[in-house]
Amino acid sequence: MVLYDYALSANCYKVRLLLGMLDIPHATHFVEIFPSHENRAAWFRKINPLAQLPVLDDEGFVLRDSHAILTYLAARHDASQSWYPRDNPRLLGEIIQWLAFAYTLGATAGAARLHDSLFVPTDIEAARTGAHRLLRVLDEHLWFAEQSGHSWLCPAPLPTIADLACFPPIILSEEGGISRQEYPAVRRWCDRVKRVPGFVVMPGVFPAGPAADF
Amino acid sequence: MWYPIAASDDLPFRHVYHAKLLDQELAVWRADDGFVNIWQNRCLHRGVRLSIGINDGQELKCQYHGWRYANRTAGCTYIPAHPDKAPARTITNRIFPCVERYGLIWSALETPVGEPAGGLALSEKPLVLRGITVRAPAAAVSAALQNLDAAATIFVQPVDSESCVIRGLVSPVADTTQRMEALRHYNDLLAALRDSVEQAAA
Amino acid sequence: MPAHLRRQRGMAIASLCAMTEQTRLDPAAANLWHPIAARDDIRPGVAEHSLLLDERISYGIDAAGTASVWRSAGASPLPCLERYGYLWTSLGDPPADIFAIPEYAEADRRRFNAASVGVHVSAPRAVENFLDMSHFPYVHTGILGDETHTEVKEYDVETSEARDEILATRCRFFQPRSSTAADHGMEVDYIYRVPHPYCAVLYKSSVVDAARQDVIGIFVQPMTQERIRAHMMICVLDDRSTDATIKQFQQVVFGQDKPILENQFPKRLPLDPKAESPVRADKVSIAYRRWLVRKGITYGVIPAAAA
Repeated sequence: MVLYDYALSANCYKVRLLLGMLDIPHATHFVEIFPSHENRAAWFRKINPLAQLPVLDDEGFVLRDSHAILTYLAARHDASQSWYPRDNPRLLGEIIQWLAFAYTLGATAGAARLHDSLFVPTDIEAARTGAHRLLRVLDEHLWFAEQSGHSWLCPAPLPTIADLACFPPIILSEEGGISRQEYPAVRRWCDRVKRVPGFVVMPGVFPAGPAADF
Repeated sequence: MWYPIAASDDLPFRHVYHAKLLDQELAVWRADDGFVNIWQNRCLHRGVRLSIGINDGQELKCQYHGWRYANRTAGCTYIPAHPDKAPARTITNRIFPCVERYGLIWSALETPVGEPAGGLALSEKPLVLRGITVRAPAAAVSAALQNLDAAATIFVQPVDSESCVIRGLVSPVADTTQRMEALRHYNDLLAALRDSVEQAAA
Repeated sequence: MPAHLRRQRGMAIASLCAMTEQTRLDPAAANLWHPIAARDDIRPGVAEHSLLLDERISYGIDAAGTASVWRSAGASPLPCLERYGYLWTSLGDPPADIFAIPEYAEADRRRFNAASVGVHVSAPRAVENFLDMSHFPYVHTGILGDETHTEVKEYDVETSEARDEILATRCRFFQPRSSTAADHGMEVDYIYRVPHPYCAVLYKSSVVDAARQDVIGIFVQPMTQERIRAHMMICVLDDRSTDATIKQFQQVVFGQDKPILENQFPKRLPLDPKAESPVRADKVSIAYRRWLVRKGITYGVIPAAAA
């Protein structure tokens, strides 16, 4: 298994998280997005015509799009069937709902981060306003989830790929000038994600302190 | 004056809560012995926020250089760059007063007078509503709350000149389903108030 | 020993005399050369835009390969110099040349810009972080430090009036993975040099050649007082890693520093010695803050309280 990966990519991080949590052995093929835009090179466009990362090559089966890769890895390699519970239609629906939410996080918080860190042009005010709107919705959702005794985005005892899809753009939001101070339930959820066994950091993310039972 | 800055439930095991009161950022954390610490949110070394630090149950460790500060005293106990030297006693964080009551964490910027929510007859264990941030000055929110028809005791925490948090308490509800319904009911009511105040402020 | 010290070359001292037309701008900062872009990032024939000391600037490379810089508003030209793979400009009266890094001329070095990264913090805070070793075990765990070796041993700091720079020598730290060329942990010798209020250079023992040093620079473009673009110059000895591998290493290390810098308050560097609590390991940063006071820098700092 080969992951086409870039260390600073939030979307690649989504996949690295699941690979770590499922403890799946894999090789990494590094593709430099900044500054050389190697992802636009002809050799990589043959692998992904959209010139985007991450891409997974599992013994010749090539898949692009971080959410598609999360789904495939969970369906194929998760013995517990908790990351993507194929037999639970409601949970599957909710997971896909939050994967869509994760895309809009990328288009807002993610775009703000790329703008502020790497000077990728965007409407920065719209990006930040959009991110705050989403975080506000998420904070309320997570607060009520906690009140019902749930710890994750979906009402299941264990995290799903929905949590991994949303975590990177949120935990990196400050790089785009988006503070999480107003979102205490989101901040607590971030701590919980960090304590999932197999969690890995990336530049910009700090590990949690000594393990605790939440 | 005492203001609520968090709910007790906002401080789960080994978490560091990021609060803000009247422009003052605060790092709020509960040690394993239950004591709630409210400190200025700035490591004394080079000014890094303590709210991104690590609560290990006994101490708060700064993320930058690993400086450790003790529960209760807020004094620096360990400077890893000089592991054999005891830190100077002067390296002690600014502590803010703390009272935990009515399911809320209360604090003040100067020495407060009286008791939190002094004078109000409140149940000791009320149902604590979700804290709702409003991007409008506290005065605008307090004014709007005058017209609210609800059997709730509402406090407004001034975060800074442009935002505040509405923190409400209602009578405890024993039944689980009714409890959730009550939380949702008041949440929707206060969220609607938030939306109208924010629109007016825009 | 960094080569520039052996050269018998006088360094022009930044002129602090005549105010420029931008009289409201800190003259100490205005009269310096500032990096604005890595040359390789500039697309020929395309005007690029950026911000320097709150001023909108534009720059580009023409078909002949000549670089130029101008104020975006009004298009008046600005001085332009190319050094170490970067375009440098000034909003005032800069010195005759930029500080010297003789190692950059050595042909067997890997020389490029690792990245130009935006950070929500002032230039002096970023420089100070670059000079700091005590954070290695916590921020760069498993790479530049680890928690079994946190002690910062005594080192030497010299502020040289003649060379107009600060030099910290005899710095050493245990590093699990000090560079892309290293494959095991070792104690690494460091020299830190601050030849410019917003630029710093480090020299660390090379794994490839014990007699020479890897040279890494942080050249900070002060966009505003609290926002920067940090350009990272790589000038290292490595005969096995690809450019991309070396860049990735630096990007990872700097990416780890970013959330620390962005969570520091105040964002501007306080120059009052009583504002923060340095310890002995901070000797070079204490010297740096004093040096900024002596140079009269007010941009990106909180000046010391009046006596």
